[in-house]
Formats: sequence, C-alpha cells, structure tokens
Amino acid sequence: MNRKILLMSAPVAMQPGGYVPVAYADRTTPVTAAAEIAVEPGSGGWRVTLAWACPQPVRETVRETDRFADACAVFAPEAPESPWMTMGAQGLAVQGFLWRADRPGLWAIRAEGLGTMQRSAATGTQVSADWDNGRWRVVLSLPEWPALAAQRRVALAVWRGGAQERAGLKSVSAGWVDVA
Amino acid sequence: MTLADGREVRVAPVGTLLKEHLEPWTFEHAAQVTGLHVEQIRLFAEGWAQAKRPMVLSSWGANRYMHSDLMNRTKLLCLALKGALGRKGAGYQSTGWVDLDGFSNAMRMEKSGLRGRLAVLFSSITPGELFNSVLDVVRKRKTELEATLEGETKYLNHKLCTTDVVEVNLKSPGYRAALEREQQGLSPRPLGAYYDEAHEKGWSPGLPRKGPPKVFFSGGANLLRRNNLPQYLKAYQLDEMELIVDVNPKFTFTGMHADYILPAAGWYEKPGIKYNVAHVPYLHYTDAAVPPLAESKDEYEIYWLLSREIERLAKERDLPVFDGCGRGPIDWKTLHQRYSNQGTLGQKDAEKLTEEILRSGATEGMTIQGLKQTGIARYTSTGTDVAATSLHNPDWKGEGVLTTLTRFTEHKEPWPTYSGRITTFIDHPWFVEFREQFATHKTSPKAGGDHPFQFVSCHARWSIHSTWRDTPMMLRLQRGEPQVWVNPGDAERIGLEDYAYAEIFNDYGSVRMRVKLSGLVRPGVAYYYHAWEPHQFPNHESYKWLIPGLVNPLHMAGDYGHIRHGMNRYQPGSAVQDTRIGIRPWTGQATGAKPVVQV
Amino acid sequence: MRYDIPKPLRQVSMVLDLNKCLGCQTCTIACKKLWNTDEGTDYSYWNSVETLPGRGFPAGVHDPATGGRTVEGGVRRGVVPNLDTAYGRAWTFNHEEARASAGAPDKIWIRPRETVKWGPNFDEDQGQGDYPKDNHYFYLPRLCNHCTHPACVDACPRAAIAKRREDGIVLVDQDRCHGYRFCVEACPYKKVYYDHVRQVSTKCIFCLPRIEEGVAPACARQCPGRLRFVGYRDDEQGPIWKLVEKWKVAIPLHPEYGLGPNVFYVPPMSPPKLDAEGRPTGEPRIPVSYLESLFGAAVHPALEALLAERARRRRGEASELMDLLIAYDWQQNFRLPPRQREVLG
Repeated sequence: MNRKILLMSAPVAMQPGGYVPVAYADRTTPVTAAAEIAVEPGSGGWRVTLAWACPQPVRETVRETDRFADACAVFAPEAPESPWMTMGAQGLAVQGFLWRADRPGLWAIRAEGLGTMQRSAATGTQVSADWDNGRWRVVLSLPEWPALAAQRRVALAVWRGGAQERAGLKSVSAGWVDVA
Repeated sequence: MTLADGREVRVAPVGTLLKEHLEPWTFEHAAQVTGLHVEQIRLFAEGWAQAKRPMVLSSWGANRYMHSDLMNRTKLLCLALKGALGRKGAGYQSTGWVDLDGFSNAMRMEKSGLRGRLAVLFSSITPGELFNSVLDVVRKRKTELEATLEGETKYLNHKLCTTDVVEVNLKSPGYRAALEREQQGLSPRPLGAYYDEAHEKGWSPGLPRKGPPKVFFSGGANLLRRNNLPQYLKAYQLDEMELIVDVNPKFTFTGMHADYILPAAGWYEKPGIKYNVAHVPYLHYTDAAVPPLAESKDEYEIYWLLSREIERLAKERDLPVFDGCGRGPIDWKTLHQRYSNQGTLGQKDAEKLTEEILRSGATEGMTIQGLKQTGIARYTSTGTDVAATSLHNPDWKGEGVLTTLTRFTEHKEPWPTYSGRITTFIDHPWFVEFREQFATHKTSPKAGGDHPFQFVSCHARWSIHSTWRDTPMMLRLQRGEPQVWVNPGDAERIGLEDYAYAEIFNDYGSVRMRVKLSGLVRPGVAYYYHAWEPHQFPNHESYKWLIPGLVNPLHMAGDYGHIRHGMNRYQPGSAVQDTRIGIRPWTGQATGAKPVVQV
Repeated sequence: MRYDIPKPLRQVSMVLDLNKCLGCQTCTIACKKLWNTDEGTDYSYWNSVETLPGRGFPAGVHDPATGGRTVEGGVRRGVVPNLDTAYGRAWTFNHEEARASAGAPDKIWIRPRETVKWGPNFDEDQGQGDYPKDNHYFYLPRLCNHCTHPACVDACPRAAIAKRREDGIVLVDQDRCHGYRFCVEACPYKKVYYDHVRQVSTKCIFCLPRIEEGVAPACARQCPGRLRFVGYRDDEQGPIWKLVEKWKVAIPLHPEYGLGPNVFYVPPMSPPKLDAEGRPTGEPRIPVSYLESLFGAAVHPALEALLAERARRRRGEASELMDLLIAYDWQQNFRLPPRQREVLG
C-alpha cells in the first residue's frame, strides 16, 4: 500500500491551556499539505514508510534554544472507538511511534487524550530517514504491533520544525487511515 | 620679631596664611578649573557647611594621581574646618586597620617563649633601648604614642626585610631612566635627585642589600601583571633572575613566566581569616569547604615544607649566616625552626597558627570553632599592638560605631605633627620647593605623552584583582575580553563601534581592547576596569605597557613631624591615573609596545 | 481551554529596592553556582541583573513584541529567544592555548571561541542621555515572578507547570515536560529557560529547599546591598506586606500583562538633571515616563511616598518606611518560618 494522504492542520482550539489556542489561532491551513504513507508487513513486524515535502529540513537542535526538529508520528487505536483527533481518550488509548530528526532512534508513544502522551524507548525498532530534493522519507522498521494488527488502521502527524511546529502544532491525517 | 641671633623675621599665624592662600579659590574660580557649574559647587558647599557629621570615605583608589595627596589634604582641610575629625559618625575613613597582635605570635621569633607585642619589641630593639624608651614616657619627655611610633618606625625601616614597588623599579637603572624621562619638568629637580637625597639622608631607606637579587619568589601577588611598564621590569630585573617561583592559587601571567609554580589551594579549600578596615569592624573567617585540588596545598603548608627543605640544605652545606637585605643576620640553618615556632607548628597546623593569631586584644573570646559557626565576629577592641595606632581609638570595646582618631580629640593627646595639632601647613624644604606648603590645585601631568584621553583605572567589579579575572563564568558577565569604556559621543566622533577592537596608543606604543560604550564616562576620559591579565590581550601586552606610573618625589621626603617613611604609612606609590592615550579604530594595523629604551 | 489554577494557601514573595542595587551580580553568581551549572543551562540565568534603559536579558525582553501577552493582558504569540542574539551563548575560552604560547613569537590571547553577539550583561552601564546633563541608568535584578496567573502554566499543553499549594512557587515537572517551549514563548518576563541538552524547561524554584527550611533564597541572602526582602504576602508583620500593601512603594514589573507578579520593586529615585548651563534642575535624571513604561502608573505614588518619607527622615523625624528600606537589621529583611520539608520525586 502506498497512499497519498491529504493532511489538515491539527485544530489548535482544543489544545490544553489558554495560550496555544489563542496564540496559534491563525494556524488553520496545514503547513504540510500532504504525506505519503506505506504500511507493509515486514520481517516479524511492520515496515512503515512516510514521505512528505519539506523545503528546509531541521535536523539539529543541539545547543540552540529556538530550533524545533522536523518530526513525524504514526499511531494506531488500542480500541475500535479510540478517537484520533484527541490522541485517544481516557480508557481509549492510542499508541505508536514518534521519529524526530534530531534523535537517532524512535520513541514508542502512548496517549489517552491531549497532553497525556508518554514517550519511551522503542525497543526492537529501526529507523532510517533521508531528506532529498525537498522531501523527507522516513522508514520505520517495527516489531509486532498488536494494536495495528487488531484495528488495521493508523493516523499520522507531521511536524515542520522550521515553522516552529511541535506538540499540537502539526499537520495530521483527517481521521484514521485504513491499512489493507 | 627679632630672633636670638638678631635677625628680623616676619611672623604670621598659619591660619592667616591659610586664609590668604584660599582667597583666590572662589566658587567661580573652582568652576573654571573643574568645569562644574558654580551653582553645583555652591550646592555642595552649602550641604557641607550644614552637614552635622560630614564624613569622607577615601580609600586606596584616592591615591592614584600624581597629585592625590593634594586632593587628600584638601579633603582633610574641609573636614578640619568642620571640626569633623575624630568625631562619631564624621571624619575621614580611609584604611585604618584593626590590628591583631596575635600575628606577632606567629611571626618568626628569635626569642622563643615570648608572645605578641613584647616579642616584636625585643626582636627590633635592645633591652637598653626599651628601658630608655620607657623612661622617656615615665618622665613625660615623650607620650606613649611618640615612643611607640619611634619603635614602630625603627622596626619597619631597619629590621623588617621589606621594600616597595617604586623602590624596586628605581633600583633598576633602565627603569629609573625611563621614569626620569617621563617626569622631566614635573618637579624643580629631576626625580633621581630626590631619590638620591632621600637615600643619603635616610628619609626613604630603601633596602640596603649588598648584591642584585638572584631569585624572584612571588606569593599572594602577580607582579608582572600589576607593575607599570612591565616591559622595563622584565628587561631590567626579571630577565636577570636565576630563578622565578610563583606560589599562587591561579595560573597567573607572573606564573607563566616563572620556572616553577607551586599551586596554592584555592579559597574555600583552606581555612583563613580576613582582617578588616575600621568601618567594617568584623573578623571574617573562611572554612575549608572542600579539600585542595590535586597537588595544591595551603600556602602555610607550602612554606612549611619549603622552609624545612631550605633548612636541611643549609645545614648540609653549613651555610653561613646571611645579611641578604642588609638589615641584620638571617640564619637559614634555623629557618624552619623559626617558621614552625620551635617545632610547635606542624605541616598541617594552619588552624593552630590561626588560633595563635586569635590570641589578640581585638579578638577576645573568639575561637576557630565559634568562627566556623558564625563566619564573622565583631572585634572586641582596636587591638593592642603598635599598628593599632592607625585607628587611634583606645576606648572602643566592640560596641557601637568605631570612631577613629579619638585619641587626639576626646583624649586631647597631641597629634603626631610638629605643632601637635591638626595642621594644614607643611614647611618641609621639599614641600617649600614644590610650593605645596598648603593644599592647592595642580593640573594632572600628561603621562605617556600629549594625547587626548585621560586613561582612568577603575577597580575591577568582576574579580578580586586578577583572581577570577579570566574565569569563564565572570567573563560571560562582561564581553569576554578587556574593554576600554568610552563616552558614546566620543566614540561616534572617532568612529569607534561598540564591541569592535580599538587601538589604544601613546608614546610607549599601542595595545588593543574592545570598545565599550557607557554614558557614565566623562567625554575626554577612557576607563578601564583593572586587573586584566596581559595574556588576555593580543601580543600578551596589557594597557600596563602604556602606563608609566608617575612617582611623586615628595613621598620620599622625611624627618619632619608626620612626614616620615613607613611601610603602608608613608611611601612612594606609582600613580596611574594621569596617563594619557589616544584611541582609534582598529582596522588590522599592527599594534604593540615600543622596544625598551636601552641605557 | 484554560486551566483552573487553584489559589495557593500562602504566597511567598520578594521585594527588591532598586535604589540600593549596585549591579555587582553577586545574586546572579549565587544562583548560577547553586542551580545552573549544567551543560544545557550554561547560557541561562534564573537570576539576572540588567542595566536599564537597555535591551535587557534576554535582549528585547521589555519589548511588548516578545511576550505572550498583550499590554491589555490578552494572549498573543510570543517569541522563543535565540541563543546567540537574545541570550548570548555561554562562550568557551582558550586558556590552555594562551598559556602555551607564552614563549612563542605568535601569542594567543584568552578570548571566546564563539562569535560574540550578545550576553547576559552585554549593555552593562551603557544607559542613556548625555554626560553630564542627563546621563542615567539603573540596575534591574530579575528572577521568576512566581505570578498569581502564570503565563507559563497557562501555556503548557502538558500541564507540566504548576503553582505549589503551600507557597505559590511555580515549578516545572521535568518528568512531564517535553521541551515544547510554549512556556518560554508565553512568559513576557522570559524567565523560563530551555535546557538544550536535557531538552526540558527549567526555571527559578525560589530556592524551594531553602524556603522550606526558613532560609531566604541564595540571591537574597548573598546580596551585599541588602536590597532584597523575602516573606509571605499575607504576613502583616513582615516586610512584604508593609512595603507592598501598607506603604505601596513596592510595585510589580510590567503589571500591564495582568499576570499578577509576586516579585515587587521599589522604583529608583535619581539625582537631578542639569540644565544647558550645568545647573541642577528639579527634574529627576531617570525620566518618570520611562519608569512608567516598566512599572505602570503606580510608580508615581510610589516615588512620591519615597521622596516624602526621605524628606521626613532628613528633617530628623521618624519614618518606619526609611528604617525598613535602610535595613538596619538585615535579618529583618527575611521572615520565613521553617516548614515541613516536602519530599520530592
């Protein structure tokens, strides 16, 4: 499967706290308009490929205060009703993997609603990321992923560091994407 | 009136002379000289006249102009006219020290078993002299103070092996020639003439050593950083040394040019006390918070080990008793014996030594254990040793304000002047020659050549002298490199940009510094905050390479009332504030000090 | 979705008398050595001292365009300061090479390895005006204001910042923090910093372990000018209440942002300007309009009260305010009863 997904700007109005929803209320059009995703069974697990346009990559953030790295995430619902837009809800978690251009490996992520995301080392994973000719191509080699195996769908998010995107400032798929 | 020999002389009271002398100094005249508006001067004068307790805080920094003593005499005159000297909450606060006579316990003593004042007295005067001195006091031929001052002068000038920077510099013919060239025309006779006369008459005794020094041993100092015209000091003195050793907690510029550095423990790695000036009458104690790093040691221990080794070698080679500085025999075969107080102080006994020092009149009841708890303790008196006379308050017992000089006001003892009173008049022949019988105004001489900026040294605010001057944490609170502070208007006129390098130049060559703009700087003046290490400058040449350090010959005068030489009392200094420089943008041109002039 | 920020039981607070600050930076170093020696916080100063008028630290901090609040107290997008141009990189130095070159013909001198663009005290003593007519500047020591309505708390999508119930100290939970820096961006005082190695936010903790023991923060204890007062806002016997509520001479910095700072300043009086001929005028050197841009309209009555009480004292009359500000008994600057120590982590 290799699909082009149109992305939307994650709605800032629902972000926790009083600041982000107002300060970034102008972020209504997605910074990254589209991404390609391929989810394929790999050796003992999954191989997920994400690709998107990024004119000025940000790979390094070390020894800087105002730089944000490019990043992407892919996650799957733990339960059939787990909502994608709020990153899950209490008792209805989502889980997946987060790649950031300034780090070597992947984080495993799990969330039960906005602002609740937990990051941990993603054991048994590999990632390769290349930026070429204005596009990122990130290949995640993942072990068994029961949530994906059970629910057969994912959601994805892309952050462009150069546009100060982080946290809820991101371009996301407009709902779950079914995996064949 | 007619003198005994029949000569007729005119007599006038000093007060009348003073009035005459001050006559031309109207507010308008002062305004012309200072550039201040007459209204500002009037406001100040009125404030001064109305002040109940006028006080002048005048520290070491007030002594750095060629004519500083004229300025200080003027301040004293203003205070004296108000009757402010020796009065509570008023007067002159400079650098009176609370004296710890316990230091004498720790000083090298030939006479074991004696403590404090007695030990010092016996090591400087004979029992016969002491008897005569006591007799003078008992018979009221002299006051106790006069007798004590005599003993102190004798000890400082004829016993203690000590000298000063100016003396060291002027001993070198090359340095002396450079300074004489610089000061040509500044005094009726050349500088050297006064130097020679002062030495002939014993006014400024110098160090009557027999040969040139061979070893330069530096501790608690950083001479090559601090001395004015270090290029001359280096060429004529340091390069002649057979051995240079630096005992220092810091890798200093002097250390960089030493054969050996003996690393001293840093602050908070060794116990220690700090004694203080009269207006902060507290003893400060610092504890060893952490052990010394690597091979570094408390200075006490370094000298303990060194003296032991020197004594061992002296005995092994059966060295004769020396008279190295010309002030009496020094036997190296007993060096460690004396340093260790006949073996009572061991290698790690710095605290025990401190305990000895705490057996002082000014520190009654203080213990190391107590100080470790409190960090500070209030002195209990001004001390009982000879140097306590610099405070002249025999009554103060640790309570309330420490007012100095009450010995002469409340106790009505004569002031140590010719007249026995506060005097504004000095008719020492040299003062007459300089026309400085009274305090007056003299313009600042242009040291280093006729250049547009006066180069003013300010006390470093980001370091204790050169300690921490090159510490990254402190440099980050500045701009990382030495800076010359200029008025923004001057900078614009010359084309200097903030933070850019500028070339600072005068007759001795040029150095490079970063430009710092500040509205606090008076136009026509350039500031530098002191104590930058030379290796913080390109070519490892600091502004000191451009500063001749003028010497006022009057500071070598003597044998006149209170005008008499004494370490930390009356001795020549090296005035830096009269230095003139030019400033221009640095656009890549070569900079550097001019070569040392050969003699 | 705004957070509900519960009102703490008590609020610890600090007053700084700007008439006594000599810009020595002892507070800066006391704080820095105690809390900020990590690699990732090398550039940051929980406590800093600025020369004003000036660009401040970080540069531009007093420019309303950098904070996450409008001057009416509304939310606007702020700026995350740049390490080189706003904070100033913590320069490293070449001491070893400089020493090694002592005997070499080409001498290397000690200097920053990095390009210097700005620093925490870069425009020190620059000030404004013309010598001697009206040149002026003063020092503004700054720490986290531990606001009643903290912009940082409001900005964190992960709710990783909170006000402590016991004393109102604002703390970052670094286990929750993901280093998004909305707090850095939103705080108009720019007193939340980003640890660029550990990738989390850090900020002044008001020396919390000391406060719990009844000891004032290091910046206050080590101040040689004795210009800092520490205590609880509701303690009517304490210096804070007297200076803030009773005498109303201690006022917050930038009240226009509406965050309710709990650090207060006694504004600086200044000597008179000179006229064109060099005569002293009746006008203070530091323009009151400038002080108003920092402290709001409350600066007028505060200065009036200070001048009136100073005049009283000069006439030989008693003044509780002047005695308090002079700090005859320095221990009285701090009223902090020791509390049960909280075990963290």
